[in-house]
Amino acid sequence: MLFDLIRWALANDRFRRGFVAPALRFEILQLALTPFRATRAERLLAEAGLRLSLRAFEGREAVIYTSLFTPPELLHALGVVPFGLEAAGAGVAALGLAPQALAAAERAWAPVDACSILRAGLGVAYLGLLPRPQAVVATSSLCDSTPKVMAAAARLYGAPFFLLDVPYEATPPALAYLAGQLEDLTGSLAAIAGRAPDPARLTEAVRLSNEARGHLDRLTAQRVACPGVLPPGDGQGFLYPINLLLGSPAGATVFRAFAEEAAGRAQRPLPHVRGPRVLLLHVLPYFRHHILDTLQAAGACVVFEEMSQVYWPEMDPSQPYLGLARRCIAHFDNGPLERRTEAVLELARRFAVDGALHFSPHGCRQSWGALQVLRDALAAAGMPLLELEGDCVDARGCPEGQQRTRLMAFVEALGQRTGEGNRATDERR
Amino acid sequence: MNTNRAKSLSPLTLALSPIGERARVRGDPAAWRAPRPALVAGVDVGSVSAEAVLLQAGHVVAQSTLPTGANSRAAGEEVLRRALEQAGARLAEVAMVVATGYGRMAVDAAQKKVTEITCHARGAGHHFPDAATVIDIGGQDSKVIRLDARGAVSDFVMNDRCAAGTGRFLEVMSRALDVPLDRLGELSLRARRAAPVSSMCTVFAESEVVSLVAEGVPVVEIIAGLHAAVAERIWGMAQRLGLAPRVVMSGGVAYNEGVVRALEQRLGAALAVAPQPHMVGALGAALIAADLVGQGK
Repeated sequence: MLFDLIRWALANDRFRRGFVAPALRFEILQLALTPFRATRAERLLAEAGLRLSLRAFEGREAVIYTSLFTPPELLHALGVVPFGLEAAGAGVAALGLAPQALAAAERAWAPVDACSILRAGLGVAYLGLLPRPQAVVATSSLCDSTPKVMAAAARLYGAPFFLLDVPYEATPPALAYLAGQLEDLTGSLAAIAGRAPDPARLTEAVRLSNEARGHLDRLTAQRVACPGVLPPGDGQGFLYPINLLLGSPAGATVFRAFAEEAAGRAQRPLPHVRGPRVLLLHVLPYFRHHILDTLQAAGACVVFEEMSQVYWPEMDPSQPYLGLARRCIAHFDNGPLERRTEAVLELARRFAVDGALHFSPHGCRQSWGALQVLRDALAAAGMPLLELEGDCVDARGCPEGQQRTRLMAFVEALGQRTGEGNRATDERR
Repeated sequence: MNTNRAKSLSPLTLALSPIGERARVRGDPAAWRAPRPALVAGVDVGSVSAEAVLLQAGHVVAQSTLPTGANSRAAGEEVLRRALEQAGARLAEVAMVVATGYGRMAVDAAQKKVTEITCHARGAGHHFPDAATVIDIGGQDSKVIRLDARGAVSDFVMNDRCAAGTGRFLEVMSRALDVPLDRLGELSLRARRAAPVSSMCTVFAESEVVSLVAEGVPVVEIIAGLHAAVAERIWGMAQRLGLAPRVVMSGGVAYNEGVVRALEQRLGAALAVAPQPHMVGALGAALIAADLVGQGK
């Protein structure tokens, strides 16, 4: 009923423009009034996301659209609001509004076989539901579609578009090249926002980013010792704070809260992790899905998520551009596929996993391209990989029955290998 | 359960329980010293048909099959009832029921639900202990399963969401050609060449078949072309896992000799077709049930 009302309001020109900011305020209020619905860390993360979105929709500050891997520290230091177009696509999916957003993108000639999270983000922009950006920034890392979709969004709003050309290797010239781009970008965005770059604020943003990184690192170490300190698959949600909150006080607060909660849980007797241990690779659908529940019901335990790993070194606050450049280049999805493969194998070893699950969203060519290499590398290390395909924003493109059978069969096979197959076969609850 | 304990049961319990029945019918306390081997069942509710197998001491004592129809719950119940009737047994006498197939969750009598991947691997491995690859083409999906040296599933791939390369694909084509499904295999073997069927989408392939008929291409060649298209699809899946002999084929489509020949040609390997290939999933489920009973689970 509520969703029907939201859909009606969003489909109505008179209502939709003024709809989002009040809805976000209502959500923040509801979050404060219902503390029992989530842990403190989860509420802090949700609130940070809602407040950042609210700032964007209120329109009092300059809004900069960013793609994944654009360093948010630069934007927090400038006092402008980073707004992730992919995050908007994910949000639309979580609200169950992806079909409308995808249809809007299709009407605007977005190719239907392109990444659906980008299409959903672009579609919701075409629907006129997003805040107007003063500039759009994308990186060349990982995905060819992202810069093109971000450029399309820039054209839609008549905003300047900036592309960060991220080199593959962290050689001194490559680092200097990217650091120079980041410095130039800061100058350009400062001019657009009508502010002067403030080196002290950038230093502080890098310090906060390092603090957040430290907490995430601590949390990861706790998860190695005891995977149960974080609910299975929750680390998948760190994609948002890593890409939009690093460099802000909220980013440090959120990761501190998660690490503290994990430390608290580690003090209590936790249920022993039983069943085959699974590593999640890439992403999961952004709408309410069954995958984690199915794995758990089958008796498997998700012990870590590729996207929540700390892949970057601590940065030197006195050389912020160089540190941020190093982080951009160090991303496991940037550069040759061997980098990601090694990172996955290292995680598999560190978390002693029995197998890996790779959800491959339709249209995500970079993840499909990596599959066979990852599969072979894991097989050589004695770990099978299940590839599960589907749409990551539109539930209509995720056939649940077929996915359940694949997941159950995967856990059954892992159970036979590890001698823990009995729970895997028992679906009766 | 020992004799003394059986004797100590109340008449009501003896009348209602399977233990009671055995004690009452046999009436001989010695029967409890050498208990009858446990009866176990496997039920496979697929998209096209449902099968049930009853096993006792590793031997099939009864089996049944029927079309699934629109109600997989009713099909699962009925196919099991028929097998029990054939064996002259009651459900309460079955120590363990394992259900498999896409309708496995609807089999209320089952204590365990196991995927068809695991069950086909177990069933095929029972017939051919040296099986290393299992190709199962059922009504709704097709799968290639790799087995390790112990016969356990080491990897698998399934067809994607469309019906291409499945029994349903052949069923649609048989209707388009007005040829009974069970004659497709025999007819295709008469073809001197296979007509090219370029599309593997069931809907597009159907219109392609209609066009070929209109062009006057012999029906046997069209059928051979369809079988080659199915074989191409399965070959693509097998390539992803790597094919290791011995390759066993299970599932109802294995009755189609034309598909088997086309697959052998495309894979470059001989296929060992499981006896009663449509029963392999149910047999595997029954064998798993026997394993679990043997483990005391």
